Formats: sequence, C-alpha cells, structure tokens
Amino acid sequence: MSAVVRAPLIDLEGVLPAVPPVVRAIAAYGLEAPHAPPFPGGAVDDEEWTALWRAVDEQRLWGLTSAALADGVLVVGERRAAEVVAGHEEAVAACLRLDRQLEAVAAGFVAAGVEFRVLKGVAAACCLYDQPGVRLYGDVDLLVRGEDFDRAAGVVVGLGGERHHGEPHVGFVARFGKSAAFSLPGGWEVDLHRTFGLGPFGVAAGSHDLLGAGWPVDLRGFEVEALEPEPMLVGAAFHAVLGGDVRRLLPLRDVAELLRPGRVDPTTVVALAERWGVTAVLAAGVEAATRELGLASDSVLAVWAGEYEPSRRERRWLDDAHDGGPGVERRRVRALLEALPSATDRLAFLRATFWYPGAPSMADRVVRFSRGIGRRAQRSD
Amino acid sequence: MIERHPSARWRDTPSSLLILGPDDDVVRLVGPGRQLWLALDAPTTLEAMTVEAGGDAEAVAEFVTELRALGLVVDVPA
Repeated sequence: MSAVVRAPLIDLEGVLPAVPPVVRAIAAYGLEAPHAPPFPGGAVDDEEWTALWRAVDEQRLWGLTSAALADGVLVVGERRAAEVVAGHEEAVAACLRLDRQLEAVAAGFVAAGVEFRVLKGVAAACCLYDQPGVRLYGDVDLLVRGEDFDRAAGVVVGLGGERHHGEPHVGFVARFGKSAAFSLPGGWEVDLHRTFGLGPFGVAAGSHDLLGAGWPVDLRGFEVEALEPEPMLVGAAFHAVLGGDVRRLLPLRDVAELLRPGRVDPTTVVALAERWGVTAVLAAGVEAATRELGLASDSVLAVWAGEYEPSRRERRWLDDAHDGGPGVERRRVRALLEALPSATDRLAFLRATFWYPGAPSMADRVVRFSRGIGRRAQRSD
Repeated sequence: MIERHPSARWRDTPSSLLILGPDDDVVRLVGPGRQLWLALDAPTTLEAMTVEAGGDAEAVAEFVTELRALGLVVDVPA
C-alpha cells in the first residue's frame, strides 16, 4: 500500500462557502454518514440561529432542516421552528409551480417530437429522496440531444421563453456549448442542456448520446423521464464538482443519495464514465460527496474514487475548472480543443469561435483572446 | 366516486401536504385532511373516506365539499 496520499481530485475549499457545522449535519441528515458533524446537543442559540438561517436559505436546505426538526434531532424553539416550516413550505410551493412550467414545456417537446430527460432538481427530488418535498429546486433543467437543441429552444421560445444569452452563431451551443437559460413568463427559469457541464469534460460527454433509456418520474398527474441511475450519477457528479451550483451542498447530497446501497451498479457506472471520457469527474464527485458529507468511505465506489489516479491531462482539466489565475483562459481553450473528438470538430470549433459572421478584426481577436474569449467559448451559455 | 383533479399538483412534507390547485393557489393540509388526501390515490367513495377518517361522516363530507369548491377533487362515475 502506498504511503503517499494524493490531493483531492477537486478541492472545494474556497468554492463551497464556509457554513456552520450544524448546516453540514443538516445536509447529511438521513444518510449513513458516520463522519458528518453531530447535531447540537441542545437548542440552537441566537448567534447560531442567525448563521444557520442564512446558510440554510442559501443552501436550499429548508427541506432537510424541516425533516430534522420534525424528527426532533434539531431543536430550535417553537417560533423558529414555525419560521423553518414557513420557509420550507414557501419553497415547496415554488417547486410545484415549477412542475407546472415543466408540464407545459414537456407537452411542447412531445408535440415537436423532441426527446428529453429531466435533470437535477425535479429528477433528484422524485427519484432519489424518500420524500420529494425535502429536495428543493429553483429552475427546470432539461437535457436534449445536440441535434434537437435548436428545435427544443424554439419550443421554449414559443412558450414565451426569453433566452438569457445569444450565441456566436446559430447552432453553436447545439454543437459545442453546454446549455441555454430561458426566462418564462412569471419569472420561471428553464435551463436547456445538451451536456452535463462546461469545459472539456462537458465537451467530451457531449459528443455521446447521453439520454439512454429513461427512468419514469411520477409528477402526480403527468409523467416525464429522468436519466437512469448510472448516467444520473455521472450527471450529478458534474453538477456537484464542476457545475455553476458548486457553492451548494445539495448537489453533493444528490450524489450521496445515488451512492446509497443498491442504487447504482458500480461496474456499470464506471464503464459508462470511461466510455464518455469523464471518469475523473465521476471519481471527483464521489470523493467530494464522501468527504464533504462525512459518508462511510468503505463503499465500493468510495474506495474506487479514493484510489483513482487521474492522468496528467485529467488533473490539468480538473485543476483549471475552478482556477481564476493567469493564463487559465488560454488553457481552457486548449483543453476544449483536446476534448473535441476529431480534427473536423476542432476546426469547426475554431471557426465558430473566432471566424463567425460579424466577428471582430484580427487585432481585436488577439486582444479579446487575452481578455477571456476562452471563458466566452466555454460559457456561451 | 371522488378522485383528485388531474391537474392538482401536490407534495408531502414533514409538516404538511401542499396542493397547487388549478387556479394557482396553494392549499395546506395537515392531520386528518392530509391522511384523506393520501387515501385518494385511487378513486374512492365518501363511505370509504369516512372509514379512513375514523367514522366522522359529516366532517368528511364537509372536507370533500371544500376540496371540490377549490377544484382539487372531481366526481367520477362509479
């Protein structure tokens, strides 16, 4: 056995906000988490309450807080308990209204012949949690195939959706991007994805068909499909360590839910991640969930993740994911090019990024490259 | 026979059961009301609901009338 312990695959220190230990206890509540911080022995005092309230709100943990209160493991006093219940119920009402938006979009996709899967919030809530009401979410996330992306976007626009950001030219996101966000009337947000994440790992995954067979999600009156458990775990790992939501513990909790015994087949999920070229993301997600939520580290996948040795390229891609240091934009463009599956794709990406109609002059391009075109290329929404 | 309105969206929580009705209002059920809503998983009769509620036929009828007025349940042929 090697005496050298490698650094975490993804270091979330400085990415995840510092939260009181009780918030981590709440995030891990109900899991087999022997290394999670314990709940306070007595009632939470005034000072702790202020920090707890803020963190629970930011972390969207009203549901698990409410569950811990109902079970008597978290004690906060009657008035504060009522505040928690009110906060939770307000958030659940918002989820129900989002489900209604999802229903409308889903009907539009079906009518347009666009196959899709629900991702993240609603999928996790209804497929993974004993009581869906404890897993809260603030938008609708849908995954479609690249070839259907622009048609799906058209459906959302047809429902009154306003796209948040344009793209260098039509079809860019469908081929190279990650997603597009839309605001529906009433302020509801729909995120349309064609892959799981930004950056080279997202590009690598996005060159495969990610939808697979679906996992039915019963939304009490209508049914949609989520990804099956193994691809859902790969997607959850992306969301937990590379997504825009990495400041929250909830995506890590989703990974932990999928790590419950019997939920996924370890051999199948590792083989899937290898096929998609995102093994390091799966390992990083499993490792981060195990570490941050204090899960038992002897499960098959936790042991596998702990022993996973990333290649130099994988290490570089992971390191750059949350790095804002000098030169990172250029390294990100290079990584994107490395991730594209063929020379044709690489050429098309460069053309689409730098030589699209109305593109700036060559001199401007040089300046813009150094100022962050790499970020724009990655983030094109 | 009574069943949930097909467009009523609902979710159970540790503190209550919340239903989003057709008019976008949220109704909160606790205690026996929550139990009765959960018992509506399949179309059922007032009599069966009364048994579920422990025999108070008047209270069950009043509850169902209220849900019907809110558009959360509908009558279906037996």
